[in-house]
Amino acid sequence: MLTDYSSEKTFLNLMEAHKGILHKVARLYMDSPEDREDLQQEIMIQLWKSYQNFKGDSAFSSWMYRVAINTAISYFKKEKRRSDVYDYSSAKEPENEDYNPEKDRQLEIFYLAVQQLNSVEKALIFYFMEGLSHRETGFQLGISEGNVRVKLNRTKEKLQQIIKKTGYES
Amino acid sequence: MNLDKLKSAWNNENTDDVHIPSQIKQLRQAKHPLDKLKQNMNKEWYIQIVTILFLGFFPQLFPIHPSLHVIYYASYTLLVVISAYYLNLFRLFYNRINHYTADTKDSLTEIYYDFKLNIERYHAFGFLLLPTALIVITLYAYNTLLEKGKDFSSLSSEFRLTLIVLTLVVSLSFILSILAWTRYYYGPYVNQLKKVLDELKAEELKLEQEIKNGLKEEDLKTGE
Repeated sequence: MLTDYSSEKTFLNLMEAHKGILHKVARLYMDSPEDREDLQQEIMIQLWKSYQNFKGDSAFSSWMYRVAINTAISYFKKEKRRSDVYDYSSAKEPENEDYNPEKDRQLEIFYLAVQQLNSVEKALIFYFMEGLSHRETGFQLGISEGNVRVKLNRTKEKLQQIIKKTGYES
Repeated sequence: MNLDKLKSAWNNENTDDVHIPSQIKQLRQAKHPLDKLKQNMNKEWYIQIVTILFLGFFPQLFPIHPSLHVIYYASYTLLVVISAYYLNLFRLFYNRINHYTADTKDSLTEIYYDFKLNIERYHAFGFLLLPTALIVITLYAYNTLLEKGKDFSSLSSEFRLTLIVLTLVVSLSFILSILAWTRYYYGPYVNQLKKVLDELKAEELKLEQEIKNGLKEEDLKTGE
């Protein structure tokens, strides 16, 4: 199986299948399209460099979460709080196949608010949104389940406060 | 905003902004601070080799009295040994390491200490180069005196004192410059890493303390 995993083509197919992780991590950690593209590239490079060590004994997505978050947290490039000056009322409504104006607008507001969280809080929110349990999140971050519970609750409260400040009510 | 309800929008998000290349070679060069450190180390390795080769012929290019060659080459050997150790071993070490697959706390801790180690490497290397540089400067100064038929004993005591003070000032400035340079170059990144690590560990320490306190209370109750 290792030979399958070590091939470039298999790796790129896996990237294609899991590109949602690249998109979401980049959106959480970078607020400009250029920086997001840079971070996506950087994550792919680090994933490829670590790929030979991926033994396939855990789900590819779990392994990818870890490398993506670790790269994003330690990258630090151009991580500015530009959202402080953003006009939330002008948040774009992206169009896609399942276009739901209200949900997509909520997601835009959510992403803008997340920019005001610190690196660890962003990671906690990412794992929460991806549906990981406290135990799994703790395993990914290297902290205890209790610590995740406390931090996640605080982060969610903080996020709600930021969203309220923007004037968004729902 | 209900975050649980937002998960469906999160899962169905458009990901067209992500461009997966058809070949790995289409990815650009890594820009992560740790990769930049490795790239710098490789560059320094080549510069070091050229410098060592150049310094090997220094007494021939800038002649000194043949009697001083032994002292020059003794300090040169010291320089080569130190350089080989610091640059070659560290280059191999840094090119071997990969820190992204461990859990976040372990991964960041390793990156943090690798940067701290690198800062100390620059400090130690700089401090060890200083005596070699001072020996070479002294040799050339002594050579100038020899050409004039003099030696250090022929210098006035005021001039000798001035030389000692000058050497101390230059040495101190050199050491402070190295400290300032590493702080300017690596300091902000190391501080940011430290901040994230503290954030990860903060609650952990509090929880441990609460568990310990809880256990102590239980012990007291049992004791009663």
